[in-house]
Amino acid sequence: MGSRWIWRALAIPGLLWLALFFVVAFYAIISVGLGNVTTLYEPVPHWNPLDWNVGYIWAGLKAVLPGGDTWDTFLRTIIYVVVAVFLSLAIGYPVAWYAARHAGKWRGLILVLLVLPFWISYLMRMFAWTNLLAQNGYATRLLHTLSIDTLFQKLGLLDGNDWLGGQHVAVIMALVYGYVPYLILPLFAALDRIDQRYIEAARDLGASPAGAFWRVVVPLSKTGTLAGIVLIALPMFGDYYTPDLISGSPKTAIMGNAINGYVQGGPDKSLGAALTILLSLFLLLFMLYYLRVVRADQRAAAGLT
Amino acid sequence: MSATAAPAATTKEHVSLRERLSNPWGRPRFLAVVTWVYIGWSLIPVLLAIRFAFNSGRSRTSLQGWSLRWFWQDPTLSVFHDPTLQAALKHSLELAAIVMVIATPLGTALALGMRRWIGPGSGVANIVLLLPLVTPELVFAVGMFLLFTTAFGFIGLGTTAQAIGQVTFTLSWVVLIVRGRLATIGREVEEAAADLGAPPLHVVWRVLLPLLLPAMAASLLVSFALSIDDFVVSQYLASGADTTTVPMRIYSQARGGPTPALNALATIMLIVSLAALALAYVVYRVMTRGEDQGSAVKTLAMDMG
Amino acid sequence: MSRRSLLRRGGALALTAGVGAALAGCENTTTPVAAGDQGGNGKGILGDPTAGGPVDSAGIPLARKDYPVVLPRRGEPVKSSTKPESGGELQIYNYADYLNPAVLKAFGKQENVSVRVTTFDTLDEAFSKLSTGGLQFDIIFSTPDQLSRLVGRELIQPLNFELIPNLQKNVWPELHSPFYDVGPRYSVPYTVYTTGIAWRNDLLGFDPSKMDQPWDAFWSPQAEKYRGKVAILDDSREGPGMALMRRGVTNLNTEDPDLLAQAGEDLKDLSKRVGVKVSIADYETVPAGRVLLHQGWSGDMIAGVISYMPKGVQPDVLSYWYQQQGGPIFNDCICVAAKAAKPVIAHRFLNYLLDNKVSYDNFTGYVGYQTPLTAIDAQKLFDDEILPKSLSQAVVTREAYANGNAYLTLSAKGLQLWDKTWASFRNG
Repeated sequence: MGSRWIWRALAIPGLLWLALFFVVAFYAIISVGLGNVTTLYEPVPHWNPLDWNVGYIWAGLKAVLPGGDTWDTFLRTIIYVVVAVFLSLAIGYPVAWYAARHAGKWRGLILVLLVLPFWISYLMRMFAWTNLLAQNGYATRLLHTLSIDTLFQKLGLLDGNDWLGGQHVAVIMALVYGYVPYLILPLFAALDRIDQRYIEAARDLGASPAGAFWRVVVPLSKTGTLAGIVLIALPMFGDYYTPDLISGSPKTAIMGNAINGYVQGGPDKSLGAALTILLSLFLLLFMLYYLRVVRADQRAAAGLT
Repeated sequence: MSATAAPAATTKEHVSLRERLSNPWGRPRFLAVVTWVYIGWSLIPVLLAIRFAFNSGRSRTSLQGWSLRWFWQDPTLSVFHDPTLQAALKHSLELAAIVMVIATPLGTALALGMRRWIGPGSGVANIVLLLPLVTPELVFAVGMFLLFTTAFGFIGLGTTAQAIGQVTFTLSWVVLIVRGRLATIGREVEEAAADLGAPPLHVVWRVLLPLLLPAMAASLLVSFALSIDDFVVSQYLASGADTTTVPMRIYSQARGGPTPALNALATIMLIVSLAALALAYVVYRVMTRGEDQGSAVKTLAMDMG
Repeated sequence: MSRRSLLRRGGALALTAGVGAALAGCENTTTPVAAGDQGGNGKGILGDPTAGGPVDSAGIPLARKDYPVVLPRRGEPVKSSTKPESGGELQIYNYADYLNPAVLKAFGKQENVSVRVTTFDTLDEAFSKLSTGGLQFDIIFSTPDQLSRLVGRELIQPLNFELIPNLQKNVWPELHSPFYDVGPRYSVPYTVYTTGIAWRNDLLGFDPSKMDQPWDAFWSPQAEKYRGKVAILDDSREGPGMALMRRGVTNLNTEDPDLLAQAGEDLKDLSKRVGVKVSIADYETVPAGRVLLHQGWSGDMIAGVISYMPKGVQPDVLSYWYQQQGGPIFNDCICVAAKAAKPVIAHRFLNYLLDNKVSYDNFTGYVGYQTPLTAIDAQKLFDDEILPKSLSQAVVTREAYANGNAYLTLSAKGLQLWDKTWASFRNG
């Protein structure tokens, strides 16, 4: 019993820090969002729960529900995220699978190259695309030579011929580009953990390579895959810099832009706070799910070692 | 293992021969192509952006010779001569230094303390610990912004606020790294020391900390890299020209027709953060030489997923 | 390509004797929205009996051309006898690319300070950040419609005009005591400008200025050919304002919810038709040809000619049009922050910017926006063919200024309406 104090003493500063600056930060959002405003529309936070005023929450709800100001934005955000996650899986899963199973002697190098984007500033990676998709940029020229731009125009995916001018495809591609490394690593870990013997057993029982993959590998990697999806979907909901950099147009504005606009760029910080609360509640479901998956996984891993 | 090794080997050979005969574009080859194309798509834009930093002309979209003009030769526009770019570089490095020096000891202590905490609050504490990893940065930044402009107004916006914000989300990463190392160390050394009569303080100070040095060194450098690349938190908590960081500078200038000096700035930051990371990896491996490690990358990936 | 000064191409300073414009009667007087008492009933505004003018129900002074406002004195101006500060940094809060770096460097050398500029993209963002109280600046660039709010929030300090003699010496007489800041008390003017349409006449297939209602160019079928290459200003007044003017509304300070709702719908329609972008970088994007049709400020095209013409592109591809009757024309202003660390140097900087030569260098060497100094004759730049005829409407004459319309202070409710209209478009 006497030896316990040192562990508590070690943990307390860190926990105090998190409590003070993380938990209280959330409380600040709640207090401002459930607070009031002065005549000059400056936010007045109501720290006391008994003083909470749901006016702004109602205004925020009205905005994000159909017919409201931000409903289109909210819908667009969901569509972007769903498409981006789907594309990220389509790209990330084969790569993770290859790295986990078939890389052979290249494995170390491939892993390093896969982890590299983590440590290149996200903004620099987006900035690189603004160079390439500009009027005379190499990507623009390549897409033109391959006639992909005319194809996209015919399919209605490209509006005009400026890739950086309010294009949904450009923003979605940028989101995929930005976040797929964050998906590949957990996927890789999940796939790597699958015991080779399960696959061999399936093959021995007569399954084709494809069958073994779909019936054995995919289900076994399910928890890791879902956790990876949550890991990239959540930041996308708060992203405002990607549409700002890749497209200068309100056509591609997503929830992050709306919240950023109200809090940093305009006089209605309280509405911004209310929208943040609503977005957080929406994402809380996903966050809780992720935490549950991670802890179950950790317990399972601990149980096996 | 050896009992199954031989039959497994033959099964594999047998399978792959059959596979190759029936399907010349075997799965591994297709996956290899996909993987290398992905890696190219992932890294080439950044490489080109770096290449443009060495353009002798003003273009950011086409290659125009080689020159160090944008780094220091151009008398007004180069990074060396432009006070706003220099200020951003200086501030980014200053902030990263502050953050790494605070986050590492705080996070290490927290990881140590949490390890032995089985009591009632530990579940909640663990959740609070992991939350910063899954919170969208925008939500977190809005909270900190409102916090530092209302309740903690005496601190206000600026370098202090930026440092506090960055430490708060870096803390979780440090804890992850240290925890990974603690898991590898295992309990035996600690328990042996305790059995020999060492008081808990000694156990921590003389036994655990030296063993944790590689993880702490890695944390120092990882938190440095994270801080350098951070955008949303530093933008929200900035208070003027003096508190602009390099990602903020890239964001604000990227949309207004910048010169390749911006590419040069981004390149410098990239080199610094990659150097920090490479150093972290090397230090970690050197300090844990001789131990049964497996891939450090893999361990990190496991922890994340 | 280095920036070339119009000065170098033109030769000597374009000085003439005073233009002597007769002040015509103000045609576009908008009556104040204010209900409630005139502040001059002895009660004053915000406790200052010397302040007066129409106020709205929240007590915010709403200046209009025929209804001038004396802003309440909050805080004391710095004394003339105070010694100037030295060393350290002079912090300026301004738009990007809105001050000639050479001018700043020279001032810094002269006063032994290092001049630092922090930039904002929109005035709303600036006010939003300033009102948190967490930012420290010495000098704030703003517009007259923001003055009431800035004073109300105690973000700017009253000026000591003994330290700014160039105001009386050099500036247009009508701006010595403007209606929005009688006295003056808090501001000096910076540039005068109009809001109009800027376009690339060689790449755009039609001429907006030839249309019956040129603002309609943005909504026209011809513009739809240029999807993704059309932009409007990222400003919460200019955007809805353009939609209002397109419908023939002349009151740019209207608080009519129906008109504003219509304006919001029109903007969203614009988004659908041409995928309109929002930006204030027209000085760079139009010369570069990335945007072909842009709602712009008059100085932006001149700045484009000075600094942003790509190699091989002639300045006469740029065109500018401004609505002569009732189009927006106004000036912006410079203030000293309430908690300025270097108030005396700040005053000196304001005085420095109003010096004839410095102002001319600032205007023609970098910024492109005309300054309201009597000795500066912008028309001469066009007469001497330094600037192309296609941009001749970018000149701001004193007559036009006297007769022009402007975005002025709105009541709190009105401001909310305008912001909501803009946000509903801006957030998609």
